[in-house]
Amino acid sequence: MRLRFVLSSLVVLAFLAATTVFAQTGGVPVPREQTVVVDTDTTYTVFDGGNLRVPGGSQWGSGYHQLANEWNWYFNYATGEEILWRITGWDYNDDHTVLTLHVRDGVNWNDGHPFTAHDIVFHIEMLQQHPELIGHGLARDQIVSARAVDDLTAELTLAAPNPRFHQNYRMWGSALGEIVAKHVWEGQDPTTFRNWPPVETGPYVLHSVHQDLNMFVWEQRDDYWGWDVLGGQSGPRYVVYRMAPPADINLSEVVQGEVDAPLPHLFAWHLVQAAQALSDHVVIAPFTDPNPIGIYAFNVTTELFQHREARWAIAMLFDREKLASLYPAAESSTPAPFPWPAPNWGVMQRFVPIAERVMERLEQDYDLVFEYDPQRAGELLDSLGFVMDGRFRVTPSGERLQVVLLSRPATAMEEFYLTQDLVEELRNIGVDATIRTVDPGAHADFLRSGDYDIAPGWIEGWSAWTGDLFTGMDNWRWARDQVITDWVWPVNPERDALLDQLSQVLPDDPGADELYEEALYHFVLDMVQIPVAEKVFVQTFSNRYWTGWPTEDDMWQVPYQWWPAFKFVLFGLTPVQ
Amino acid sequence: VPPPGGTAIIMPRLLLWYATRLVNYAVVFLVAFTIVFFFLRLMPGNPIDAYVETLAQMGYRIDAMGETVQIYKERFGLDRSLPEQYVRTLRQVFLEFDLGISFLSYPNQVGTLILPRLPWSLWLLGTATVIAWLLGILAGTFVGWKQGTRFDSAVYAVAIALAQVPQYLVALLLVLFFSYGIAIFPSGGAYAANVVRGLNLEFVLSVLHHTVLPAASIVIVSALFWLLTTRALTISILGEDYILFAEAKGLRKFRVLNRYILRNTLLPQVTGFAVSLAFIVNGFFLIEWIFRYPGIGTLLVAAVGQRDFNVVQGIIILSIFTVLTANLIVDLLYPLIDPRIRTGGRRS
Repeated sequence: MRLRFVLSSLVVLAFLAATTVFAQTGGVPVPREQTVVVDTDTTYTVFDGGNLRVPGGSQWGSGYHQLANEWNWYFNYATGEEILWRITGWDYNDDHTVLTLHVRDGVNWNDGHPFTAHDIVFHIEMLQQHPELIGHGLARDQIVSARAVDDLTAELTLAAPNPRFHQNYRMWGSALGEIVAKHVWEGQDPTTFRNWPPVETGPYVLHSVHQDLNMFVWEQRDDYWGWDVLGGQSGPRYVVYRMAPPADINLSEVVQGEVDAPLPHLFAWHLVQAAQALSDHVVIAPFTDPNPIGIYAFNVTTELFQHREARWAIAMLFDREKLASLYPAAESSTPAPFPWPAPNWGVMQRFVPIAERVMERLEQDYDLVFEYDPQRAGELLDSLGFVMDGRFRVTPSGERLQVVLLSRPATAMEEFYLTQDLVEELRNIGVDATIRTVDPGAHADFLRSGDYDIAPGWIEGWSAWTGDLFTGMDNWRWARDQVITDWVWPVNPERDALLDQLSQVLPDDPGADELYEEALYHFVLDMVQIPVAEKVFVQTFSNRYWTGWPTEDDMWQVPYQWWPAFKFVLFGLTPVQ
Repeated sequence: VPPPGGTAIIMPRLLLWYATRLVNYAVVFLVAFTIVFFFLRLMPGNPIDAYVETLAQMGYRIDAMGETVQIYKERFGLDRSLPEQYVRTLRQVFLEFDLGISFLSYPNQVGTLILPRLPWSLWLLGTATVIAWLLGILAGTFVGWKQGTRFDSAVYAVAIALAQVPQYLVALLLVLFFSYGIAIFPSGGAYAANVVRGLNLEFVLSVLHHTVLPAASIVIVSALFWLLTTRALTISILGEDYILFAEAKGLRKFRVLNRYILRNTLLPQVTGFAVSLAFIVNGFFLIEWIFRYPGIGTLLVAAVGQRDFNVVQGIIILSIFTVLTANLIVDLLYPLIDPRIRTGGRRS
């Protein structure tokens, strides 16, 4: 009996000893010291797709969008610098109906073929011919024709004058900018073609896919065309994108240097602090996200919110300092300075004086101030006839005033907190406010239904992406489907006329500032959206294997590891000796 | 001794038993499928709109996408009325054995997403379920047999407390201790990244090594559940006359435990075991997520989030199929295990 027990124990111990060898081999299939490991929160389901033009055609968070695929030009939003990449510039004719794109000489696809103007033209024509492709409507409606003047010059004839059309070719501009390789895609059915391994112009090619390990491995190209532009090859040999573990395990991995760039959405602020306390290898790079949290939309067709004074009353119910400080531990934040999406990015600084003048004028003209003032909010509602009757306010016809707020559940923490706070503030001034909680997947459906009064949420930072305040003010008119626009875009012909005028003017044009100021004046007066707090993602890096990351003190590039511009961060890294 | 009337009476009774079970199987399958179908479709949202919304949040311009959106709605049958969608899906699934196209991985078939993950879920959860059941039954019978002793009281108290601990918490504690405390087991994955997948010793050992912690997370809590239920069964059996008779006959204790108690606790536990085993095709999201295990659970959660009806439906149909089939098999085996069913309760 005793002998059997001893033998059994020895077998178990031998098993543990034998298998422990594997536990020490590390978590990546390539040399760790030559690799940057990046976390994502995505559950991978596409392991063989490099087709951005169909749903499910590529895997977000796999590194494909960040390392292989490229855009034509970028902003360095941290510094405001414009980075011309695959193109060296653009021109318009006098009436902005013809856009000429100048392709950089020497750009090549990762199979060695040159990237030319013919690729740009082929991509446009492919989109125009296939209504199943994302980007079809844009190419069909806004481009009349495209031609390659020569290998390095593409000429696009537009359907209407548009001095901002080149923005389509900027990072995350539109489907037009994600150009495919003509020599690869020609003759293929683009609605089913996988483009895998991906033929792209980016600095990394696919090394291996590990479906069972939720991992994509990318290897640096020695023949990358960009090395000439950068003045030499740099950055890690390999980059691994992988699904992140739960928070506690992620913390251990960061502390031990097993991951170089965790995802801020998962690696919350308290984890960052813990990691810094436990390791000397952790550096942080907090950066403002372009999408502030606030009131995403009002239903401007309701009895109450058809009045801009009522929307201003809501703006005055936000104690932005408090809400910014109460932000969930995942992020720090700052109060939004003006009532439109304007993070403190380099590209937006030029509009700050304009905004300050607008706020002064609104105070002088209408006694409207963008600050926490519940008493004034109540007075505004009184002035509209929504007066107190007992505990609650009533409508001018004598019915109890009820307001429904549309909110995603507590999993969308910032939105949920903000909504709770607003409900409390509304009740304090006698408004019977309730929350309708909807699943994130159904949020757009509810927006489209118009069955709500106020929809808190993330406000898309259109202005920041383009570096142009106009796009932020104009977004409801073109970024959304008409059904939603009808609910949320207040009627104001004067404002729309100014935006029409501004659509033909660029920020640097003579007299542009006055026009921007007038348009902004009417836009803020209408209080279409209310940014409350600007989210700051604290991107964390480990410098156990790599140094040169952007940091709090030296934010030389946007640090976010899920952005396509992350390759510029990688170019700046050097291995720890 | 054959029953009165002999096999001539037993056979029609058995056939009727089997026929009833098969009809039940078909009806329950259809009803379950119908509930799942309408439950999914009646949820607000659909995969196409969710996808467009994601594009908008990423900063893409989504104007002028109306025609493209409409095409995909047609392709996934979302432009039709609900009854039309139901009939179409019914025909597709049951006559053509086609689970449809995945939206998450368009234009791949749903099967291409489910099949690579299924073996991992079956392996991890199957192994854990079997081990937990065996341990629980053996330990539960033994503890029940020791009813009233200090040993029984101690084990019972510990089991009651630990059986309520969520498996994910056990999983986290195991990882923090065994992966980062004494560092003898990996914190995640199905096997080491530098191992070549295939039928080789290195791979097999690596899979076993990576299975230990996730399986242990499930086994620890599940085994305690089986222990508690088996203990209760054992205690009730201990009061039966035949146990008293066996002891009075002077049989050895081990023989009483093995032949008279353990065998009688097995029968009711077999049904529960079969159902538990059938559920393994669902995967176990939390455990898979914590250990980054490539099972069905994480796929199911991702598909629900993206409203990928076909994938969710495919996984649930698979689950319904296995649960019902496991029950059917147990039902069909019952007459072999329990003679009372064979004879309709007549004494033989």
